[in-house]
Amino acid sequence: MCEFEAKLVAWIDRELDSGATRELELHLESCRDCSAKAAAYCEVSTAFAAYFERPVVTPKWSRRAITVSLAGLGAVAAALTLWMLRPLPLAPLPQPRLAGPAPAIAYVKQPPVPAQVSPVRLRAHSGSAVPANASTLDAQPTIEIAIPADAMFAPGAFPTGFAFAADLSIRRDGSPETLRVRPATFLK
Amino acid sequence: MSGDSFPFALPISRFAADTGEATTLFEELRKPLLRYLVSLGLTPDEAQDVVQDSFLSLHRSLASGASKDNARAWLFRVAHNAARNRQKSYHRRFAAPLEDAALVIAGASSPEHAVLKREKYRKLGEAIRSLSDVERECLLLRAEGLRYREIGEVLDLARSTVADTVDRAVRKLAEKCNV
Repeated sequence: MCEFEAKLVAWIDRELDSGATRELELHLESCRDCSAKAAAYCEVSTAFAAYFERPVVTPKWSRRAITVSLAGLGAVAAALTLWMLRPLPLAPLPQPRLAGPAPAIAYVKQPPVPAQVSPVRLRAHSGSAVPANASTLDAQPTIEIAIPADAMFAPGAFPTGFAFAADLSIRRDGSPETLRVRPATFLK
Repeated sequence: MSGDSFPFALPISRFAADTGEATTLFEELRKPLLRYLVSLGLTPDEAQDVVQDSFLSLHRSLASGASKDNARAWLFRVAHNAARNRQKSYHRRFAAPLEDAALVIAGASSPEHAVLKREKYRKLGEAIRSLSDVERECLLLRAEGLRYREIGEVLDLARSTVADTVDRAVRKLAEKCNV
């Protein structure tokens, strides 16, 4: 054991007189063992002070304050969640249209084929006879579209049940051939 | 009636000066005293009471004309004795382990660091509990910045005894903590 080792703690605490201090500091320059021990004593002294620092730094009331703060924060979060989950007023539903124009009705009306007419001779809806080799031989059956008057004109402009009929003939290639609109009263 | 007709002179100026000194001491020593008393085992509330009583005693002593050459040592001594009078709480602190894992690992940067820090803290706690009362009190007063002579005044020990006690206690802590 080094003779200076017994003075290390007193040297750390500056309790040695000036002569002893100078002597010890000269020794520390050459003795690694004493230097290491002095450093260890400093470290453990600091750790000891820090060990007892805690009770004053964190007294009981501060822990309680933290607990109360956390509880308050939780209450605020819960209130915010409830506010976000509150039932919202429903968006107004679209009002049904109580009155409006009647829809147009379209249907294919197969023109009655007269018995005396050969299948190769078609009779147009208009009733006019056409030769078998005419261009209308390629025509499809006439499409008759019934259009209520209310669909095109303001209600009351025509008597109830009044309608128009559109006769549409289409070629076999799909292109329209004729379109004729006429008054009709067949809608009931 | 003039002031000269008083049968005795009130030490007004001296009282005012001593009161100012006590106030300065209170601001300077209140926290170290609280820390020392809590370290001895008093609750913070008990420590507050003891500190207030100690400063009240100092104030009365100064007002009565008593000389306080070393008020710091005197205050620590009064507070120390008051804590000793509360023997139950005085020893309460060292009767049970002091570790508080949540606080110990609070500053750790990683789980491994937290484990090491906690282990180091546990060893230090065991080492402190292995010290005698005098050794522990000497180190506590030393940690509050008292000189060996002042520690001797507080604990009623000779300065050389304090030096030996502090030296022995520090070595013991270093040995048990493997520092």
